[in-house]
Amino acid sequence: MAPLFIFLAHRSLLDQHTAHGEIRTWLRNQGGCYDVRYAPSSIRRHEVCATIEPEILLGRPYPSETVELRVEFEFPEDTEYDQYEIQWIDGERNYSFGWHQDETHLDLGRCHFQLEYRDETLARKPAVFHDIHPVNVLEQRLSLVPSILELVTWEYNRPRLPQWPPRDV
Amino acid sequence: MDSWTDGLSTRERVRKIALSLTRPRSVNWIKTEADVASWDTTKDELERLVEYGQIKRVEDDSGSETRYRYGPNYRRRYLDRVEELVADHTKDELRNEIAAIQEQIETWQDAYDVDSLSALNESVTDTGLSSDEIRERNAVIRRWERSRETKRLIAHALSLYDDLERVTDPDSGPQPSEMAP
Repeated sequence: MAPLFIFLAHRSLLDQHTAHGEIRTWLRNQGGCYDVRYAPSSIRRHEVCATIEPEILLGRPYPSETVELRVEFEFPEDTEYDQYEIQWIDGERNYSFGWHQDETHLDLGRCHFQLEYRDETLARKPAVFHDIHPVNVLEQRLSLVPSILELVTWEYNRPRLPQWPPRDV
Repeated sequence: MDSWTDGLSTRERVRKIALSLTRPRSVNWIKTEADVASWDTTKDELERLVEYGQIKRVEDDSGSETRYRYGPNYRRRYLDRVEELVADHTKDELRNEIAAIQEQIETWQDAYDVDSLSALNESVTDTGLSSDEIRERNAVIRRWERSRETKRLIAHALSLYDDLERVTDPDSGPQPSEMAP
């Protein structure tokens, strides 16, 4: 039998596995969340995806029948904080938005908000950095979705982000 | 939306947070994340988990008096993951996953015209790549690393598969003829 070596490199894989497991469990218990799954497979849990009925999840009218939610957490050994990407993808209207806490666009701070339309990034804005537990991060970010929906306006079938609040988002 | 804390007792909330920690954290941090009022209850539950080997206690010497931080027990997590792979999947499923990972790696090799992960790593410093291309390559590098580690984990699960099955299957215990007289 091959000896059981435990490499440091495995730590972030195990952390990701654990966090994605918790996130999947939580999403599966939310009204309006369907088909909660790992991608690309139940063994390789690079991200958690879910189909959402927004009217049920948010408890308010929403123009599209369903949206996709994509959540990916990572825990690099060489950073002092957890990284993640939480993206709300409205395929019917070809746009998506979400929070990215990673090594990109550090001029905006450790976490930024991103609005995308088709293949184009329309806006990137600084977002509040919270050093909190992954499930609490997801809960807190999803609770902000209604306020984001109020900030996004539409012109000629194209989303816009005319203003961005300085705090709390 | 329901909160994850709904319907869970104080100690259950502490356990949920503690068992999914990604780095050592203070009692206060865990107490806040678990939405628990009592420091003593949080600390007590954490100590119980340490006693059962589910989390690790590490000394925190950042303050004037010695306190502790609590973090993941990776050895335990690794073994739990191997056990979970054996319990939840057939050998064929595990072998197919290794093949799927290999296929994915080959797709990356073709897409970036590299023969190894280190070559892709080196390519990131190439001049001429846009910031979006660098970002994309970095994301693939991380996935490639995770995929390689997952492959290794599955290989461990496969190597232990029969032994783990044998010790849990009541029909395959020692037969009377094999027992010492």
